[in-house]
Amino acid sequence: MTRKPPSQEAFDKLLGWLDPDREQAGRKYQKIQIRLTDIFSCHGCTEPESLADETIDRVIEKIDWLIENYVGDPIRYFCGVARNVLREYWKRRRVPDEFPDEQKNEPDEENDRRFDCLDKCMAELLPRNRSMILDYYEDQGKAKIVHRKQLAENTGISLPALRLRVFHIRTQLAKCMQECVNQGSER
Amino acid sequence: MALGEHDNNITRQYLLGQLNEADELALEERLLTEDELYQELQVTKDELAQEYAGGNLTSKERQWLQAHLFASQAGKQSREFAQAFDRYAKTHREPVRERVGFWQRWDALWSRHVTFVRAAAAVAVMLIAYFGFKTLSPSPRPQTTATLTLVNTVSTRSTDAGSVPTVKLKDDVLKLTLQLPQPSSVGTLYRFDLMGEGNLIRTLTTSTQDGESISADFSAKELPRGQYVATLSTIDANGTAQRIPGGYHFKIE
Repeated sequence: MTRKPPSQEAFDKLLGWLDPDREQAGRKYQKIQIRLTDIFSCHGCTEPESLADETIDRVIEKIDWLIENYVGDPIRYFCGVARNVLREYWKRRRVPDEFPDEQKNEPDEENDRRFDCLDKCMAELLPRNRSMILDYYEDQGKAKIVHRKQLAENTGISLPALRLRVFHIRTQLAKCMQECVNQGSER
Repeated sequence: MALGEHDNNITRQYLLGQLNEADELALEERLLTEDELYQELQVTKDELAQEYAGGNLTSKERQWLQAHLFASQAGKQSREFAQAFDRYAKTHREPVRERVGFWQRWDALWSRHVTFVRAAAAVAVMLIAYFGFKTLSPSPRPQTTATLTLVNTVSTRSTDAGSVPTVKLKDDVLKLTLQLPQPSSVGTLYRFDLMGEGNLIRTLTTSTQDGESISADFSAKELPRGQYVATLSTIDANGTAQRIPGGYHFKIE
């Protein structure tokens, strides 16, 4: 179903409901949009952005009533609406009985291209960061936990800080790999 | 507010579909307001993708992630990254660890117990010299070498088990010669990675002597029975390696 986009007036009212300070309200709106998209994505929605937009549109449709009657944190209301949108999505979606094994379906050339791009991105990392993330993924089970504690000690940071640092390096790498793959596809 | 162990576990359970609807809703409300918890969700997503790529999840967990976390475009890309990283880590981690681990341990030992280490090193050198001389002095049996020349699978498209070259290794050394897919100038540097049954056997940097192939010797002790694949990467003037697509497969019996 195609929804009518909200009017500017209704949108302004939403921002005012989120926060009296316009800048703060804008930030809160963006945060809600991004995080709702993420939540829908965790639930297996293939187009999480459009479901997040639909949730926000539904809240905007009720904005006059909400301003008059709703008591409590607006976030809670967004979550309730998002859950309804999600339930409707589940009803609409045809669920396959079995999910294909994606690894068998992907051509080797694409895997190789990603691997080559990652190889290039790894080479661009600072040597200490490269060795840290490789070292972080050493070992399995109990040995892995001991190994990571040791690695954190050697690096002079706590284990949670090491975990975050590894995550940030990986985020940087994933972005670099994707850019490289996209450049290859454009050629 | 700092996150506790409970929050670490709950984001994992959320992503694996192990929470009931009320708990899911409660967590989602927190995700919209608590920045730290939202970041924890991102870290857990990344870790789960890596566990998936490394084959460390149950089949039920794998299926759940395929149908949920990896269903969107962003999710698919995170899975693809994790799979490429897993492959990279399996190819590169062991030599790095050995190198770093050994020198770190040696540094620490040397700085803590200088006198003891020096004395022990002196004794070790004398013992090695003595036994080395005793062992080597009788005329040694000449070393025998088997040779195997392989062609890149990209040019042959022959990776099925039936067409993989097989060697019954009875010699001391196997000389592997890899034909380059395209000729290059003599002296061009290459990184040579040999993998066997998912483990990295050895990585070495070498150059082409004839512009058409790369050769390296491997001790028979390094090559137990099994399937092997060698890969080549060119190394440019900045030391950056660029992998040559395809591989060189062979089998030792």
